[in-house]
Amino acid sequence: MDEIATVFLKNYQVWHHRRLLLTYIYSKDPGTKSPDLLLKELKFIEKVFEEDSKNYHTWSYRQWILSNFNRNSLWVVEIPFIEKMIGQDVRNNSAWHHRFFVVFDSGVRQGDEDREDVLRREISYTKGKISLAPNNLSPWNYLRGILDRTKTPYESVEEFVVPYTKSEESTDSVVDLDNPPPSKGAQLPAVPAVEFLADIRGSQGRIPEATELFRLLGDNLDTIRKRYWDFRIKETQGLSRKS
Amino acid sequence: MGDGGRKHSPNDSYPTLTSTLQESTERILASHVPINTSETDYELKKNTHVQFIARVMLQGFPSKYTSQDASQPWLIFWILESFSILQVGLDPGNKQRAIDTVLACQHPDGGFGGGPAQSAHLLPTYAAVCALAIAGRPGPGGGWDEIDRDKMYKWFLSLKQPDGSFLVSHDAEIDVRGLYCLLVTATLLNILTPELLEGVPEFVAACQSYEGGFSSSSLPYSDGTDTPSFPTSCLGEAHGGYTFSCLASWVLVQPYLTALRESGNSTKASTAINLKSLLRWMVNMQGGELDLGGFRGRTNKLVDGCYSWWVGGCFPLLESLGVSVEPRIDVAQPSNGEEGAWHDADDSLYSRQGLQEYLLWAGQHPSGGLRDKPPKQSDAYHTCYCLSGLSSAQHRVVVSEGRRHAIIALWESSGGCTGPSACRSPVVPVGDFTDLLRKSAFSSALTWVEEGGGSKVIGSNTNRVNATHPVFNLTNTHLEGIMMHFYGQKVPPRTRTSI
Ligand SMILES: [Zn+2]
Repeated sequence: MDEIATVFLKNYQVWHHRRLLLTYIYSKDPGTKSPDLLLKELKFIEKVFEEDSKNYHTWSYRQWILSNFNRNSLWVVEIPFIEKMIGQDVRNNSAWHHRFFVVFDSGVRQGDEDREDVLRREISYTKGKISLAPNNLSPWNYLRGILDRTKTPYESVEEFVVPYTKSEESTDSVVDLDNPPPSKGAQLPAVPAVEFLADIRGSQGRIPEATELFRLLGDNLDTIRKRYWDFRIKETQGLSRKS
Repeated sequence: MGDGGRKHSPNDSYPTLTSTLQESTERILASHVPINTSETDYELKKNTHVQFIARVMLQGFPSKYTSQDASQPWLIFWILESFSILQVGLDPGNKQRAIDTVLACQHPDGGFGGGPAQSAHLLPTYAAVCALAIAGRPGPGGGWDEIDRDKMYKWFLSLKQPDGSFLVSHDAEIDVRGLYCLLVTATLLNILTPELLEGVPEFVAACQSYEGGFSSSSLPYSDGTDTPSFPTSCLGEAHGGYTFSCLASWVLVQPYLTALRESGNSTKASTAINLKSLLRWMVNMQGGELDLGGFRGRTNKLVDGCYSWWVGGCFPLLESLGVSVEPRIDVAQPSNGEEGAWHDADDSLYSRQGLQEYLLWAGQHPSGGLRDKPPKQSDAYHTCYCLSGLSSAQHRVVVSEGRRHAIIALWESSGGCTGPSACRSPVVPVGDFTDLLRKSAFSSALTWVEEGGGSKVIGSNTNRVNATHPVFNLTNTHLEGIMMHFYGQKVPPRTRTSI
């Protein structure tokens, strides 16, 4: 059966059959079946990712196993697994989504009860990954996602974002471990950073600055989305009129 | 051919598998940018595409093809809808052949399968009913009255799960594409009921991911130890196909939410989706300069012609929910239902030009049909959705409150039903709420009009294709035909006949 799944990666029906099989086995003998079989299945999925690390159905299947059986012994292997996947390709958005699924979207993991601590850990991890390749949208979306979910204001990461919106490299030689600077080869200013800062300025009511940043995006850095950036300008200015 | 001085996507001198793949794709796409864009570089090769689709129609599927994703009803729908968009009508013989082939896939217990004697599945059921909307007609052998709506409705209910979702087939998985297929089918056939829709808005909302786009499904998790504020989690990341399915489903449940509100049940009707983060995700799917303005289906994946429809086609849906550049002024409608004239500022939220350039330069296969991207072959699926996306980029199709009122004014509560299978199905419960829902579903579906004014067609005017309905992906003519039949209602005539 493993062979079939690796040959027909795109065929989600194969995953569905494995799903039915696992459901069947565990419904017969829920208590005594050790999580070994499930851990083996997670290992197998990991192998399949070597051939296609973004296969949608493979990721969904993994998420189903975690959620459905909901065992601590399964959840604990996820963070190291995700770090390996993101380490291999920091642009793998499926892996970033999986991280959100594990950390924020499926209840609270053992050891993760202190949510403020978890948020700090995740922000710090994400900043580090952004610094490697600042134009990579995946960790920026993750950062927005976790701030939105925890209702944390965007301006809490302003200090980190600002250097990514400048075209020249910072001459600041002080090393700030909380706010890693853009890597040497980064192409700055990074579009997702400029957008992020514009959102911060908008939320602070600093409308002319927000407008200027959106304009920079539409006229210069990200012209394909000019209409959207114009829309954001109107929206931001409309907000200021209302308040 | 050259790249017109277009910029590569930044890789921040930090190459990974994703950026390397992106770069090699950009190199191929760059070779498809015309050097000095003359009008011929923008030509939509309609005849070659018509010939390609005709060839596919003659060949059909190889008999070993049994996957539910690429089944006979789907192939027929892609062919028929591609022809419709290209303004090609089918001769009666081929129409009948399409009707008969589709009907042979109807399951004795309701719904349609991927082929004769296959189990019923929501995806081919949608394709079958939409194919019949295009090729079928009332009366014996016409396909419409042969659809067993009673059994279909019972089958729909048997797929329903406690969280508002539906299995795509017995013993199969839950997938929001199936939900979209079910809602379209039930709306077309006048079997949309509160029983069917209970919990659906909540399920759709639960599929929205942190990125703003939608996932394949959501799953309640059974963590007994805490009281979660988010009792469900998204299975899979935000994705173009699932986002279209969820957003169109969201539009299709609006009549239900309206009916709930009108009958005083505002708590149930208060479920919401985040339109702001959805819009942000949608615009980010449009590729950069060397993606030629095509759409991708997920963050950090490659552009692909079919997302022209799955993502590009989401913009009018979002606009119908109130997200637009300017609050649109719906000029009081003349009583004949003619759409008003609006100012012609292009207030799209994405680059219509970019998308059309991708499709014209990279999407067309030299020997006919459209495709994912060069150097791939064309196929029926990509031909249909590239053309649908092109249509969406060329036309501005919007909800007209004026037309809605004109349709409601003509509504007959008796339904004027005479035929044996027309109008109400006996297994569908009756009641004031269901009647309210039925009227609202009918008028909402048929209230979309093509906005008058300047053309958004890139290239010569011969590139112009038919407009298609943003929710159903059928022309208004086909949609009105089948809905008038199954609701036993009439609609005011349209002055423009193109959609
Ligand atoms: Zn595709």
